[in-house]
Amino acid sequence: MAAGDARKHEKAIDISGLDYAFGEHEARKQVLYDIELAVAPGEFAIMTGPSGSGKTTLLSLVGALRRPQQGRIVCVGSDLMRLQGVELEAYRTGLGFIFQLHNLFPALTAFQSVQMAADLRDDLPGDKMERIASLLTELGLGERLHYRPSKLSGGQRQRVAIARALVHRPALVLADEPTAALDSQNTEIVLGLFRRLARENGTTVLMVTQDARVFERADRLVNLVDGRIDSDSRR
Amino acid sequence: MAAAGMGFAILVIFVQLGFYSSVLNTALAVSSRLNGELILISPRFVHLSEAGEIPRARLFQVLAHPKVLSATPIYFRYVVSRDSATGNYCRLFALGFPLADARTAMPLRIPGIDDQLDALRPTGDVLMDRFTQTRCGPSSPESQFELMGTAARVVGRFELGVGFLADGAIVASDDSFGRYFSKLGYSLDRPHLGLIKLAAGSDPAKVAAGLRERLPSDVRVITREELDAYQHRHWVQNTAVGNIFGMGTVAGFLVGVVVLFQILSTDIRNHLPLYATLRAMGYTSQRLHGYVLEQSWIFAVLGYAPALLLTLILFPIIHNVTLLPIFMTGKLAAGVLVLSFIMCTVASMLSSRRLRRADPAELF
Repeated sequence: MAAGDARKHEKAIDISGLDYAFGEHEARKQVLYDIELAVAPGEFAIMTGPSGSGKTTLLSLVGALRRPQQGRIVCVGSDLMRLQGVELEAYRTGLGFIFQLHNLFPALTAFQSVQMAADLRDDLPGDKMERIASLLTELGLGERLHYRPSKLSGGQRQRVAIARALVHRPALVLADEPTAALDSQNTEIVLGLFRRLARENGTTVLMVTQDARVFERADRLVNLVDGRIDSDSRR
Repeated sequence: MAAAGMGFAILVIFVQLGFYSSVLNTALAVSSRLNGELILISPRFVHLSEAGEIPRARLFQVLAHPKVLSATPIYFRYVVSRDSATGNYCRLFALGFPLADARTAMPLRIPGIDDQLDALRPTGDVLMDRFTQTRCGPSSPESQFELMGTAARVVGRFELGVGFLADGAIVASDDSFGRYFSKLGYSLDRPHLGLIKLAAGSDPAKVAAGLRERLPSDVRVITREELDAYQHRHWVQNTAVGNIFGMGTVAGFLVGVVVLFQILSTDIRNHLPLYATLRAMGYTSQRLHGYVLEQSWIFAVLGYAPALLLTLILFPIIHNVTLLPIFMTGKLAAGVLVLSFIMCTVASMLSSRRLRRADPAELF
């Protein structure tokens, strides 16, 4: 899956009849029930819902970080029920993950952290180094390209993690509370970046958030309650 | 901290291998300095200190071979020395050979002997190894020095260094040698080795085969290299010192593996979410293992440099204090560097197993 081909598929995310449970036998606890969800390329969808509703489990299933158990889940052309080995790694390489915690290597500078993601892709168009510098600058880190995480604020670290997820222009961005550590101005910058990627690249964004500032910027709001989709509204 | 731990482990290996190589130096101290291509030994020969004796007449038979230039009897035994001024007793390794033979073909390639042959002529006069323990004396030119209870005079010095073999060494004429051991009934007709020097261009293997056909079974003919091999095998496999320093090297290696394993394992454990993030991004397990390996090699280099520096300071001190032949060589430095990388590779392979716990599913 090369960068920039996000519009090739009719649906970026196509889920039907998806169930998921943790544990086995008496310890089995089902967290997702019969999920039906289709997200189009370039769509910016937000998943919300109370704690324990299954949002992050669904996010990790879409990211192929967990193996699906039952149902159908096809994302950017890959059937995740069948994916394994090299194909699984290739699928993940084409995604952009933004975790709640930035998880940056303390020894690497902002630039090097983003480069680690860019280095995974040999098919990025243009100059890789220029792309990294320009993305970090767009995220307000132009003056801190060569700072290590210890010299960056929480918000700045989170923006480095966002740049790391977006540098290869992924077909699908999976984000867990990416704006939680950001002020309003930087939240706007990040959301603007998502929108631009969606527009220019057809990148689909699936974001878990409770941040009300973000809701109005999304195309779609999916609300999960007790492992079921309670509401799914387009805006 | 990691580099310090590695440095310590590498220093232990350096010191152990340094001592180990001094055992090898001990093993070959005399045999490698014998100036001849073939050696006549007793069938009972085990190593130089347990050589048995050969009939001197066999050397005359050897001389009949057209390719043999000289055949020199070599005598060696441990002697007990006593410095009367201090009363100190020592165990010295004594080497003897006929001075007349030495003038035509010097049997030993030891610096400082060939230009002092005349000084050895008076019976009882000896040359002493400069690396003999100082406590062995003689403490002053006036003090009486005894070898096997017989008065002896140290008339010069040479440089050998017998290491673990004895407290020191002396070289004497065959006459002096006979004098020290006459009380024990020892006869110069029974040398311990016969050193055979061949004409230029001779094939030692062919000459040895020819000599074997001519000589009776009370002697054996071996090459100098085979003698070195006997010595090497004895000191490395059959002596406690060889085993101790061999095991010490293994222990140093294991300490290094364990220290680095602990350091890398702790580091991986502390950074599990970071490795999980890389895995989520699409980094393969192989690549993550590669990073751990790279990290371990950095520790190897960081630990090796100070360890080498410390060893360069330590070895001369150890040599001066113990007079053991312990030296830094290019071979030792390169060998320890290779060993350090192997040690770090093993530690990284063991600690990399912890990467399995880096589960990207835990990140959301």
